[in-house]
Amino acid sequence: MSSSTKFLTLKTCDDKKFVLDEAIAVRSQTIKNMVEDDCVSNVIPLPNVDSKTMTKVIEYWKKHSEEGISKDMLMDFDKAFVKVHHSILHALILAANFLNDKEMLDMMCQEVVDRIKGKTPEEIRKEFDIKNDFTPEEEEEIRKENAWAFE
Amino acid sequence: MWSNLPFELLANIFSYLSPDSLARAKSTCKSWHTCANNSLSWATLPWRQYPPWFLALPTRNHGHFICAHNPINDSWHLLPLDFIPYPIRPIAAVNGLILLRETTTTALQLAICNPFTRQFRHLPKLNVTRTNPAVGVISLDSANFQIYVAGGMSEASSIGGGASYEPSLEVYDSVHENWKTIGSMPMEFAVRLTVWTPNESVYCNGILYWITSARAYTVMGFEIRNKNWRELGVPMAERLEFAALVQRNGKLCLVGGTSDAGACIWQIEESNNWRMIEKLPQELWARLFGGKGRWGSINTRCVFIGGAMCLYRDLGSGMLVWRKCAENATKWEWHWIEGCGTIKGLKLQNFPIKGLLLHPYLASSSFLLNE
Repeated sequence: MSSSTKFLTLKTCDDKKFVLDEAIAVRSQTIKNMVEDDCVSNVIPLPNVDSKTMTKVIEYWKKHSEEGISKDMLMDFDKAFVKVHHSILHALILAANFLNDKEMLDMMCQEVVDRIKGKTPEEIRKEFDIKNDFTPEEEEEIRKENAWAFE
Repeated sequence: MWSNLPFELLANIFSYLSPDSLARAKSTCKSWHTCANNSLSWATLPWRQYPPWFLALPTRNHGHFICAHNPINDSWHLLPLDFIPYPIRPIAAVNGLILLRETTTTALQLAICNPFTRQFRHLPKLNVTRTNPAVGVISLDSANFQIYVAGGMSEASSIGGGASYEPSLEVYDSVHENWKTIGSMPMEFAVRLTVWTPNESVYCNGILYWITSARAYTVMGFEIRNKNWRELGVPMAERLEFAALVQRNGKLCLVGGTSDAGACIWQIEESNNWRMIEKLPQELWARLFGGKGRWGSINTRCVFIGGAMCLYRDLGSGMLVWRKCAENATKWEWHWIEGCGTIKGLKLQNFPIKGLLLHPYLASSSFLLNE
């Protein structure tokens, strides 16, 4: 095992810097590619991620890189991790997508799926703060098209 | 915020929703509606994690609608077919769409519809006008398919000649959107494939199979690549009251039975011998044909899709489904679906049906937009 741990500095769009063990940061395929292509100077800019979101991402990465952590503990962590306000969930999905961490992206998307499941359109709008931009006529038409789903 | 989520991410989320949840999700705002209607990723696999729906279409003039069974919450729904201008008969399901025959002409005229998006399209006329040929369907990938038409009767000639068997084969390809005549076929097969062959075909390892509906049953296969016809025997062919071909785990199988002896599923082995792989639970089997005596099982029919098969008789008597276990894909288990007596408080009389198994496809299909 190598004794020297390499650190990377990540800079978010609001100019905050995060110093992180490279072994952890390369959970992001995007960062991994940059490291492998040797196009990393001192600081890796993450123009699409803000510091609040990055803090959550790093929390997730660190937990998932802990040595000897049990499967059950990780499951509990994940369960609690996704229970956030929908605006944070939204930011995390975009961040996971930009950073190209498929495992994290899948988990966040699954949470969205669980929040949509079994709900009516009105309940979904409330859950995600979505504005109903259909005219009453359009909405009626769409409901008629999918009448079977509203029974 | 959520209405601006990149389509690619939204489509990924949508692909994990069950059909009814997806239908409601796409009714929340314009952007989600557009994404759900146009995304090609429906065709990708994750949503096959849900069991297929059973669609029951009346076989006679019992109305212009479909009774659809949602297996997730075990509910029946009515899908009106008022967007199809003609009376039709269903033939088969392919890639979430339904292949139909128009019944305004005796000559075969095919069409495709999606009862969930209410899209409908005629297929071009066949090269050779024919009545009652065998029809077979092959799904090429999640979007494209081929339709084989074999045998049938040619039209009676206007100068007094009678109708005769049409010993030829043609194929429709959804990529090129046209019919191509493949060539001739042995007269013997043309005769046996005409009239008395139900239109259920099974495509398996390069061969398209049909079973005769007249006893004693026999199976006919067409090898797509080298255009050979072959014939297979059927186990207990003389005694079976009903028999149907299905495909399971990539192997050709045959479901058949009698009212008193029960029903079995056989699988064809490499030696072309049939091996019994499953016996239907006697109690469920008896429930399916309601304890009617000898030949009571004669109107039993069977339909299949990857990962599931369903035995049924009519709308009211219930259906018997054998499908992949959700937790353990190597195991199959039996399910009973109660027949459909009422929908939304509306009482339905019992009538004979043609059943289809399919995964509802809620995006508009480019094939159906192309007419």
